Amino acid sequence: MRTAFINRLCELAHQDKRICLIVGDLGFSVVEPFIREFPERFLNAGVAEQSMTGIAVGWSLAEDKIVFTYSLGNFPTLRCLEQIRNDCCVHNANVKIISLGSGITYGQLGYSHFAIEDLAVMGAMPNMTIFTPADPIEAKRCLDLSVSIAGPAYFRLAKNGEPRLKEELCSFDIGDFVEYRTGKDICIIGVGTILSECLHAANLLGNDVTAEVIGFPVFKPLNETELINLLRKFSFIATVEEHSSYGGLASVIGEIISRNGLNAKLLKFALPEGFDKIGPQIDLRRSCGLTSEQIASKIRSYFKCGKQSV
Amino acid sequence: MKNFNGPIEYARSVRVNALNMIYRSKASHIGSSYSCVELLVYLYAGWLNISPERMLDPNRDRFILSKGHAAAAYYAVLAEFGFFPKVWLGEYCQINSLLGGHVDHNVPGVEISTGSLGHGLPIAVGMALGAKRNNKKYRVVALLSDGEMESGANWEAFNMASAKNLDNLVVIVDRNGMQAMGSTEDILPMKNLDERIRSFGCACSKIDGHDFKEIDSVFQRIPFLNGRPSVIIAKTVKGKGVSFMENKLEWHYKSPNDEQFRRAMEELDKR
Repeated sequence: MRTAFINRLCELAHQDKRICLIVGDLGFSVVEPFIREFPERFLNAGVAEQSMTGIAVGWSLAEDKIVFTYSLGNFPTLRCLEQIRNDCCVHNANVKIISLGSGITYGQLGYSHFAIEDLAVMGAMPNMTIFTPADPIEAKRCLDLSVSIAGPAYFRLAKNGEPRLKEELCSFDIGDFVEYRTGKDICIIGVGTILSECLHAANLLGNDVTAEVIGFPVFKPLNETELINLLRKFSFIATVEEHSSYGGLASVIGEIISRNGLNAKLLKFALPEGFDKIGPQIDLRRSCGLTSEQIASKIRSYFKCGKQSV
Repeated sequence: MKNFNGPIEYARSVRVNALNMIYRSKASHIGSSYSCVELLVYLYAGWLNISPERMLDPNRDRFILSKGHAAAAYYAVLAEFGFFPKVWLGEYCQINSLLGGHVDHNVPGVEISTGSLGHGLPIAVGMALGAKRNNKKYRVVALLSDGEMESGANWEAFNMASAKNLDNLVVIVDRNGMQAMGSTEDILPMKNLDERIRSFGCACSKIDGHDFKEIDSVFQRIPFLNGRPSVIIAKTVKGKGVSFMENKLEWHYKSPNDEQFRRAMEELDKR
């Protein structure tokens, strides 16, 4: 995903002279093509995310640039959150924040490197568009969309090697959800790369429980009208996210269900608050019930048990 | 020797207007506003290449008041130099006014909203870097408080300004020696602030921040060194211009009562 993203960024930078890139001393063996081709539009801000973000705002406002900041996990977001709020968002600066290592992608690196509160925090930032692509093709589409809109954006990217989720071309716009699979018994909603688990879970459920699977490559803003029309058809909705159970996908969907009077039960699959175990991503997912097998089994038992308690 | 009667009269008028604004609205920060009046007036009276007619000119100089709590002084200066009508000052801090207690970029003439300390300098560095990368000639000036120098983001920004040879960057530190809870020297001593700044690769000069002659002579030397950011430590007095406000911590917070307002106005009229 990150290679596809940077390659696309280089292509766009050839067409659009406004595109600049600032890294917070990260991106080794990823960002070199950009540095080679556009040295005057590149800066390594060092391990200094507050000044990185301020510099991005100043550069963007003074010279009408689209400045991307690039780092890992919480470094380009939580470390400099007030710069994002007061400097990027308030001035609607054309600064796009790229964070690698969504959720527990870097499971072996531990809690400092888990980006699991970012949707809650960045979702609260005014003017902020949030991109949460599930695969490399979606990531490229998100990038194209981001440069077409003025103002700040946040990219929640994973790393490399994510499988392609959908064969057709990506044509979603800001606000759209993407439908990966149709079904009628339950709607599984995923955000980010965990959508591959959602799709596999739907396959495992087979004809016992037919599952619709949708995702949000653009997490914010959401065009609610079409989403509500879809969700209205379901009595059961599952949300799946590699994010804290507080303030992420489940909170957003739960509010939409409640605010619009939808008659649906919400099943939440998320990480516990403050999740801080160590291990490979897949093992960590398993420890939280987030693998496809666990998701399928929980949904199946829920349907079997007369839908009593989940 | 140049005649500074014009700027001196502007400074007096700015103090009177800021006093009126803060008295009427019962707002704070008159001490912090008064310590940087001469510096602001000097910049807007001619040194900065900006004017109300060219607020969006891509080649204008950029100014950022990083100590955004000195909004009363800054707004009085912007009104003095025609960026918006002086009658607006009467609505300072009132409902539906553009002019609030911290600097806001929606106000004509203001580049950047501030209020949380330690934000202005990194943005200024980004602007100065952008200018250099695009071969633009404009200069970028950021005015900071001395208490604000405790914030780490400023030192991150000095690091970069120096590494990228940003001699189009000017940083002014309003060295009034006081911060929200007391004297800067009691809280986190910075007696050798100039040495610290030089050790980060910037050129640094110290002046009396209320003396137009000294201010003028230092600004005529910018950039102090080719390839180096210029930093001016301006020794100032918090509350300058009203005897009973000078160097008194409480005037970081208080607004004058009727009697204090009358006495302050009297002193300012005499100047």
